[in-house]
Amino acid sequence: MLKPGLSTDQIEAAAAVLDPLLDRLRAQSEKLPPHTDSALVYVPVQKSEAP
Amino acid sequence: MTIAEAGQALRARRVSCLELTDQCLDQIAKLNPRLNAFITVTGESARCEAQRLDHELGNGRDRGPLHGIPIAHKDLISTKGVLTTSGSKLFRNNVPTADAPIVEKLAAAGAVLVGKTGLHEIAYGITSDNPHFGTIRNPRDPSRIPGGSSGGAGAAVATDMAYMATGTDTGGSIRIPASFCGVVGLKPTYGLVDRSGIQPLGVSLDHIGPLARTVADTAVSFEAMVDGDPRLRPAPASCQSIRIGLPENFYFDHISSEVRDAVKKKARAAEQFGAQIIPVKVPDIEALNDVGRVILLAEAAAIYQPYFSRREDFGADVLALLDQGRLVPAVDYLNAQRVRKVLVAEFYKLFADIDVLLTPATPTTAPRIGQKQVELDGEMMDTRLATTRLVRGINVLGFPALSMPCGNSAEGLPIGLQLIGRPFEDRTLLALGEVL
Repeated sequence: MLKPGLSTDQIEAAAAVLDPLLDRLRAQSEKLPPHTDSALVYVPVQKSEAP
Repeated sequence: MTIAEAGQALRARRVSCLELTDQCLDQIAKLNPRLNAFITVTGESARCEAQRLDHELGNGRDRGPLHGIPIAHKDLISTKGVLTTSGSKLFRNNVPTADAPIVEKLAAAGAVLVGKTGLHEIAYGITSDNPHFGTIRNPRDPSRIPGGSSGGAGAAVATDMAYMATGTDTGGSIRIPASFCGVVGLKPTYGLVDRSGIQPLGVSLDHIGPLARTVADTAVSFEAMVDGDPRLRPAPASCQSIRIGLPENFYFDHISSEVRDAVKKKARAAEQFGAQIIPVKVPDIEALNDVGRVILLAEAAAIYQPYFSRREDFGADVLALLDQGRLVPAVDYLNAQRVRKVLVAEFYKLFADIDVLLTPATPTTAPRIGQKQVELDGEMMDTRLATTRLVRGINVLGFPALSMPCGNSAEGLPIGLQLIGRPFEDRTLLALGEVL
């Protein structure tokens, strides 16, 4: 169930790009106030935000 | 000829819809073998439709500015009975049974479809060097990329194969080809243009918009796409009242000196016609780009999960991105969305003091086909990441952004600038673009 479906070589190739990106993101997310919410599908501009 | 000029000629009976269509079809026949801008040319149906529209105009029915104007759709937009490949081997035989709403809307406005333009495979890249449908070439220098993913659209409008072409933009895919091909491209406010019937890539990042040769042509096409959406703000009465923010940080770092000089020259020109130029410090765009990359990796992998077992059907670059996306933990995707919310709020604060942010669209002119890295300020950078670094973040915000020509390099290659505005102030960007 938890198998990623990729070979070890494929995972290592992807991780070489992904790891530094996720490290930077995690540094940003650690600074988030705990109440900052998200939605599963985030819509940046809601109708209610229209002028 | 612009759309307005073609319209005047049509109504003065100096040209017919059929003649306009034939002129575009002739250009396609002449140039497409070299540039590969189109995957499918719909010559026969285009000529029939043009004749029908000539008949309508003769009988006094005028559908407006796009009546009889030849256009093209990017080949991931569903067109009834016309091949729609998404530039992918997966969909090479896909013939939709219905038009996407954007296709219906433009057809109702009188536009004539001359064909479907090529793209980077599944719109996931910036070169438009497509392993399944061939390399699309830059009209200014065929040894260079046209940009992407809407590379065929950029090449087609730059060479008069169509007056306007639709594009999609998930991380710069309208604005990059506009910049590299020397045309205009608008990424409208997120959600303004209906995305139904269009192959998705990043569901919270995808935008649909027009590419055309002039800002006025882009504006008239945009209006047909949004059809009077009440959320849109009117254009300002005068561009002299517009407050233009000129970034002091990020946007002019790591770009070519020619691009830097051309964009700053344009800012000075804006000041001369009376616009107020305000130096501003922009929020953390590197963080915004990282957020955009993580969200897109995960969302694209989710879309293409049903095809993961067909690895041989993807090009190497797209497959690498999908593999990365499969490994993004849900925790990181959700936290990227939370960081996104904070950064959007910071941009709203920035736009309290300005109306438009003026930046370069791309840090360089068009790279050569196959070029893996570009040199910026003495540093080698990955071509894809360098090319998207000034545009990707705006998809995360959902704010509208216009890419337009801003002179040429010493080699004669186009330079592009970008105007970014508040949500639903797309018309402000178009109004300012017209006077710049």
